[in-house]
Amino acid sequence: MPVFQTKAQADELFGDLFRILAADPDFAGELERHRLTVALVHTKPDVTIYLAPGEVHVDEVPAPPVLTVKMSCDTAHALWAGKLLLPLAVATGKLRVRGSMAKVIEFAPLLHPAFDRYPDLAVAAGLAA
Amino acid sequence: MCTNDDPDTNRTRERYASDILALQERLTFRTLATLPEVTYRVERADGLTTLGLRTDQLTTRHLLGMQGFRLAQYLRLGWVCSDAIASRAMFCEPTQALRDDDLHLVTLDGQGRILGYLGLAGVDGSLLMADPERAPFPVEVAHGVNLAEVVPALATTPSDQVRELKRFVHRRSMTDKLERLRVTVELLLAAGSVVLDMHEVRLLVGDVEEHVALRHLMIMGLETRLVEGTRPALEERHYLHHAYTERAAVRPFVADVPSAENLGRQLRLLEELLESPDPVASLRALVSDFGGNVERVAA
Amino acid sequence: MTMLQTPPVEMTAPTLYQLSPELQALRETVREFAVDVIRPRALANDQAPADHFDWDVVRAGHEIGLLRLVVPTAYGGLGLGELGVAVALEEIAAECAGTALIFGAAMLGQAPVLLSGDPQLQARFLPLFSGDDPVLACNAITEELAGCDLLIPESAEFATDVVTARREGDHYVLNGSKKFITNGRVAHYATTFANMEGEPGATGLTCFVVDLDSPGVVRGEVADKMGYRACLGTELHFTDVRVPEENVVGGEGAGFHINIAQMNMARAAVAAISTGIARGAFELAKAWCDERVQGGKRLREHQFSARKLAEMAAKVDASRMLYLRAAHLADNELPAPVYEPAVAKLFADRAAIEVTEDAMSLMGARGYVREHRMEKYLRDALGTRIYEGTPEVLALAITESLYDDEEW
Repeated sequence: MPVFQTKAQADELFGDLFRILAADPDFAGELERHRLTVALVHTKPDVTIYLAPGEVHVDEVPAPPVLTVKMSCDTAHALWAGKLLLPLAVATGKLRVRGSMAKVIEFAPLLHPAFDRYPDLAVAAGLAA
Repeated sequence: MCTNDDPDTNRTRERYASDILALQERLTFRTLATLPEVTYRVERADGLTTLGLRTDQLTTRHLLGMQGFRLAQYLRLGWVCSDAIASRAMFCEPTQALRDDDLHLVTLDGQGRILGYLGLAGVDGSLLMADPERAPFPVEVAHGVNLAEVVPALATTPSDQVRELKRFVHRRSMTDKLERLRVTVELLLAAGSVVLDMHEVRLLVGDVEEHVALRHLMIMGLETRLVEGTRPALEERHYLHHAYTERAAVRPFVADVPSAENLGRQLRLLEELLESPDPVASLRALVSDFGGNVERVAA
Repeated sequence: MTMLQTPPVEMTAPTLYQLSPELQALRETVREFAVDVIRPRALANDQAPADHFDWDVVRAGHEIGLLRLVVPTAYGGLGLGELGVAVALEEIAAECAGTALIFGAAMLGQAPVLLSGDPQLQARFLPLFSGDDPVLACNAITEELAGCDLLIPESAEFATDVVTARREGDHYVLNGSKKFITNGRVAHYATTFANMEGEPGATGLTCFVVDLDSPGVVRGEVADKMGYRACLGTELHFTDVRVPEENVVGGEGAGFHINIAQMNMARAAVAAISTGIARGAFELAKAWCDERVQGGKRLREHQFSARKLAEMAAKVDASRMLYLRAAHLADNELPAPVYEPAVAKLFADRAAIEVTEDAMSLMGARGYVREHRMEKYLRDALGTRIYEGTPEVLALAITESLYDDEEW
């Protein structure tokens, strides 16, 4: 059974997660420094999160992103909840990335606060983390 | 933040800190001396080299190397929280706060190992120190004090004529006293020389422990106002939180840069000290005859 | 009928055909290093005893940044991708493939740490490469009986020297032996693949960063190889080696996926090494055919020789185009593509053997004499065909990709 029953549920949870992340001065500073913009394209249900320094857009991609990350909402849930390891997600094709790999290598460590915050957010949203 | 109730986590964090120390211990930077532009360079016959470089004269890897040396030595002193650096995956002090014209003074041995470091940092803009819009120096933030309010002489000085002395650190594994003295003198010579060349710097600020770094200011012959009664602290999650909890009283200071003539004389004396058969005795004589003075002011 | 539109300017010069100014500068710098530093020593290093290692060449390469090409700038590296690595390795291999592999194997040792996305692991190991003194890494996969295929449960079950790991508190304990580990004799650490005890095969394969100065690690015999003699293929023996849990890359059981990912990324670079070998041999033969006069004409004016030279040039160029395509894709897709790197390596490996053989025949007796370096190119070309995928392994990967219609 899919983790998310409605698109609104996924919109809210992933939107909140990345809004918290974007408000973190370290994260925002690093995005700025590396000139990174990222589109996280979630499927089933379809939710796209666009991240730019100081900006988070849901279902809107205002400019071509430097990196595009594609995965299902279930994969994203397992990933942020720490149940699926990033290298495994990538190697098994559950998570796909288009864009400069040098940027991916810079971007991946920046996501660490998301792993810390997501479990609580998921529980608050009524999902088992 | 700096303590953790979980012993397993603590062990992992301690191992992280120990790995960072081992990593930094391995790194050498002979090539610092070959960078195309340096602000100060003195190479001694025995292989010891002292350099002064602005941030914008350094490559990224050299800058990270210096910041790594600083972090490692503070870690050895117990002033860095291993939990904080592990959770932020730090291997060096952050570079973001550095300004392009901040100066980094380093002494290297013949193998390129950094033996000592001293930083001279400024703040953005050029406003009078008394101006409420003026950017604070890190020492003011840590001590919660506006130095221009407690040292009136500072108030009318433009902030770009002030530098903060930061992170006067020696390689902790260098235990020989004479060797440590030698590095101290080399770095003080470098600091005095670059300040002399810069002309515009009139005041130095920073914070010192009375029985440790204050001596350096005396060796330089600086007239120093020591600010008493501050309660320095960094927020608990700051990686340098321990720097104000684990050491003896640390006091902010404001020191006048001596006239060119007096500073030149002090530098000549320091050069002579390096040639002395008994540097410790020479140092005592220098401080006794030409050392600086301390005036205490309340915060 | 629709008229074709004039493409926008940026489309007329795709990166595959024209390297960026940064990569052109890198190629020039590495070419200078290869010609000035490696060429004068290549023959001596090739003919030295099997365990001879030329640290001076490594030091000189490190000075221009070859050991930190793929290390992110945040750790003091150059932050380049596969394309940069491949371009650099072609230049080095054009003078000495063994030296190219020293740097290539070090990067392969860095790869799991990079792929892990684990900031603590990266902070603990990647800045090592930013100091002035060279530090080498290696990637330890191959075992006596399982070879590179650590996933065959039968091999693991019956092999006596398989490397295993078991958890003890907050450490893992490693036992067993690895073989033919390039840089194993001289590396600071090895990203080591081990099967969790009692769990041989894909689900148990785990990657550990192992400090090779740890108690219980013995750097064993250096293989006396036919080619690639500048780099050392070494046995590594592990006896109750304790590795802290934080040195696991990507978690227990992630080894299989890391192995696949790094292999797909590495194949473009190995194809570049083959291209370099072919180019080096071709350039020697080309110069010889311009100089040597037979029957009143230079060799290149004889139809038979001209045909050979033309075929050789085409193979070198085609190899280069294929590895550039593969590296470009590997830099812009995750997971790394399977098809393009495998095709590039399959083609370039074979081209290198054919080109060096043709070059040798054009040079006649001189090609057979060590001092002219041609026979070294041939020996090296045969070696490249083995690591990071034999033609048979590559064929399976390519064919599987042909029928794989998975879309982005």
